[in-house]
Amino acid sequence: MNVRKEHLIYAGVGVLVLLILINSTKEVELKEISEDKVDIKNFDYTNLPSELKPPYRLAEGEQLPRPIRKNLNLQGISIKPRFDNDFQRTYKI
Amino acid sequence: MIFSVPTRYEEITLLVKVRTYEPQKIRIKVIDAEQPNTTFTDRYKTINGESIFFVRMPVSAKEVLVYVYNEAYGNLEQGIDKSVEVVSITKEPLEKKLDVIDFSNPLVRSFVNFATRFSYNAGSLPSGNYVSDDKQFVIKYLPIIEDNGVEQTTPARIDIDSGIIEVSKKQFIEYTIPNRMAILLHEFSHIYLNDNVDDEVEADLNGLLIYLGLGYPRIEAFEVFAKTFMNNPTDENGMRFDRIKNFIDNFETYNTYLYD
Repeated sequence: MNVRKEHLIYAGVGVLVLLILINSTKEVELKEISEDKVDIKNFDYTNLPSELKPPYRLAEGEQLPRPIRKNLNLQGISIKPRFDNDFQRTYKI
Repeated sequence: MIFSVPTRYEEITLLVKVRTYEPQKIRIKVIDAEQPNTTFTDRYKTINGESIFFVRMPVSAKEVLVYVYNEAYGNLEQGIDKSVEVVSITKEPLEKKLDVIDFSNPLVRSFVNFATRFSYNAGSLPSGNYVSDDKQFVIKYLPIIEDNGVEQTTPARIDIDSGIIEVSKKQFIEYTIPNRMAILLHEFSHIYLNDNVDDEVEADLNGLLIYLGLGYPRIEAFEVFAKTFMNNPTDENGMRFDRIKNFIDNFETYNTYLYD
């Protein structure tokens, strides 16, 4: 049988796509645990991957860095926008 | 019922297929199996027949616990509560839309990294001042936010002068990770992305663009804004909620990327 090089490449790509499709969705084996087995304590940050490790906490008395400020305008000075937009009770613009 | 699912810190979507035999209010909670006060989602849906909960997790733990139960009966083991059944739990790759986020902006890159790490760990971090690796961002994690001795209702606020974000630990500890991210991205947007620093709607939409682009769940964004606005139901907040809903609804179709 005359198997050409292109056919092998197509077959290889096909297998690769199939493997990606199979591996992208994984059904998890249902493993039920009872409430009294749930024991969330003694968490250790050192085991976390670097992208999830807690940010650096300044020591007592350590000076706050001076962050850069962007979009600063005269109107904005002395305003502290709040997530709930409740300026009236505490801040005057 | 509680199911243990290994997630190995991967970015994934969990598909939890649930079956009921008549309309039932089913709650799903996904929590970290090791770290306290670390919730990936906490929501409910009224289900009649089979339905799937999609839990988008741009961050996950080594192992998570998936709670599924009928709100009417509380958390009972599978088989004891015959009103609800978990059919399957499947892991799928997380769909993200990173092209909508300006990662060429180093401030965006730095803040997303900082906010993610803070949000994931906020449930067990002590109060204090936290800084990003590049020292550009500071979060004051306070037991409560107060002014003149009076506790404030807001979960977070940003000081326009200094760029320092104040966060209420009392409130944050109750929030899910996506809730925390939505709030922090909103505060960041005020100074670093908005054209007008005081514009709440502009900050809402700029923050949401990053939040949704990273693949966080839509429902958790609705939830955190709704929760906050309920504490302060003004006409302006009502308008904000309508704009947010419209923005999220249209996000998938790429219709509303830019604040107008």
